[in-house]
Amino acid sequence: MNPTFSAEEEAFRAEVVSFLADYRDLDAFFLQGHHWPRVKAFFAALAERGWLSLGWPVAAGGSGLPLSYEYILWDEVAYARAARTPLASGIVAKTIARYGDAAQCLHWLPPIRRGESHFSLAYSEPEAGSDLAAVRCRAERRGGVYVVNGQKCWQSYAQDMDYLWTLVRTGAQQSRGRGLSLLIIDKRTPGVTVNPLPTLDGDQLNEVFFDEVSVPVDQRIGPEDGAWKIMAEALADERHIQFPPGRVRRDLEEVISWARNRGLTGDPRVRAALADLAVRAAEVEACGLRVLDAMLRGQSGAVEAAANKVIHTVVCQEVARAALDFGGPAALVAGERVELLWRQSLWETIGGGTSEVMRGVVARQSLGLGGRT
Amino acid sequence: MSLDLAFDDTQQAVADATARFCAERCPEAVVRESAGTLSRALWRELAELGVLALATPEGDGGAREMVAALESLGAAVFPGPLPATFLAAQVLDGDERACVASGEWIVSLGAPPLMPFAPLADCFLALDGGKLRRAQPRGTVVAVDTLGGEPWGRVELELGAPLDAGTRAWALHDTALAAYAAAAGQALVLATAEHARTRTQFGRAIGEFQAVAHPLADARIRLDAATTLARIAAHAWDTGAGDLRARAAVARLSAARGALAAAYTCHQLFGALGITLEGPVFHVSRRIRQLASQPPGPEPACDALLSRLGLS
Repeated sequence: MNPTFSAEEEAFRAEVVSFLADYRDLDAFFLQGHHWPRVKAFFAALAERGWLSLGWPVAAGGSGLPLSYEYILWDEVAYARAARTPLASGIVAKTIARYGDAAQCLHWLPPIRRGESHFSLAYSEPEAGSDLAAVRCRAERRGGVYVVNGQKCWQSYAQDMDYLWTLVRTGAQQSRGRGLSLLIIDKRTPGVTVNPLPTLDGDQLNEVFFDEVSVPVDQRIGPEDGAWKIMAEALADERHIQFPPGRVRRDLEEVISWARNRGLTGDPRVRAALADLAVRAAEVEACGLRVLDAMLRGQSGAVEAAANKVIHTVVCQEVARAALDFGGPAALVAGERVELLWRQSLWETIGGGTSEVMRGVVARQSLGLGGRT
Repeated sequence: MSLDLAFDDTQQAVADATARFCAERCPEAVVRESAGTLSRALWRELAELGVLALATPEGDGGAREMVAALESLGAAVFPGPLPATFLAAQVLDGDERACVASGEWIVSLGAPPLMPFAPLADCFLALDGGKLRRAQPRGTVVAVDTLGGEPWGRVELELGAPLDAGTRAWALHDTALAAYAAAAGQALVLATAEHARTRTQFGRAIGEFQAVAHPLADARIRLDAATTLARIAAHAWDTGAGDLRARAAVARLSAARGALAAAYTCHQLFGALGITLEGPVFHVSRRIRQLASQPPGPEPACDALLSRLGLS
């Protein structure tokens, strides 16, 4: 039993921390839309060091390092508030490496590894949020292309990304999860429209419309109607770097520092609240390590990741809300970090799978309870 | 060696041996019957396993082995002053430590005059402001029944010299409490999940209702975290990590709160069965409640944590 990392891993962490000195607070609250050119440059700098492909298989041009390296990298990136984990080098690249043919690997992986191709996840729809098997956006095969018609909703960062990693219905509507496929859709293709949905943190989500959009068949990844299994495996690829505890560690440090600067830390109620939050932040860290630990021993980590998602995001909100509770009127001033944190953290328990869905996973897989009703 | 949160073979062997011992010598019926008392014979038998000597120079293992044993003891709601005993074994020397480790002595740790296990105690450790002192009873012990079913008492104590109870001793105490409390809470959650899988209402198992399943999932998540935090604290103790005191404090606070929250959830989800004396919850929840409040309470752990945050 050893909850620490090896000397080599710690040396890597030191290298990462040193590198991040130039990028601290680059995208402090994941408002990527406002910072995209700089975030893009940051990803390019990571790529230069080979850090976008740390865990990719060697055959796919990656370093083939243990998952702990990706964990350490993205944990420190989150602590530095530099960027959220990108989709392209994670889910997209690992899925292409696993399911793509040789030509697809050759076409897509090198630019992703170089930090040049960027992707937005286009899964959710107005009528398919938590229930993805209800996706309606339709792709019809016509010769060498799929013609896509329909709507996606709630896409993060779609306004700036090059490609949409799109879940489409290729089978009958009633086929649920069995009739879905994954297409890479170039956002510049005629018929693609991206509209902003402003969010309460000052950033935006997007809705995406497809009107007779032609997508070459070789931009389908994996078998037709075979997306469900691929998506599940893709989620598994990223469990250890979704919601890294560094984010919460940093949130707490900032709130403590904010409280200290305003002379609040002598108040016993504030001290009690901060001690309580420190315990919660430690629980978050433990749950993050539990995900990595499960995956390092070859398990799926599905339960641990669901648990981590719940506790991580709930504690994000607890930290922000406590600061507003004890912060007095000064905490309400627009532009104060605690005020922005309060707004931004509302997103966390929704995006990437709601707390309700995640509790259902824990209830089913850890306690044998049917939590669907 | 990289991250590994599981027990190694030795630690797992300690956990398994302790669990077997509990199943044979301290099944649920014994736990229930023992309320209000503590069997010296049972306590000595536990000591014969080597559990009470863990993390001492004479012991066959460190804090991680202690946590392995305590996870099994907590799951069985084994009675007795476990955290106080591990503290005493750190602060007493030579023959006295041997008396504690062999189970000959029952330890009472508290702030006089209300002292846990006072009617039985052979060794009194008194909390006196920030100090810990050996103490001797002056006069008789007046027995006191407690919520947790532990035999406490009121007694006037004559305080002796302060003991050298430093960071490591208190960290071990808090780690022991954390491992036990988290495991007791986990056992309750699992028992309640079993109930939710088998109890049917409205034609289905009640565990199919999210109103039942989700609170249990939340309890499970917190206690998994607390269990891991206790193991991390034990590793910090064994390796002499610099942030040991804060690690142990966090584990203690997390486990006590997580276990309490789980206990309330489980009382509720068992319905009327959950409020009966013979029911499946109270013999565990009372022990968790007592453990969370027992001297010295959560305050020193809170102070240690605030100090780590630079707020001392």
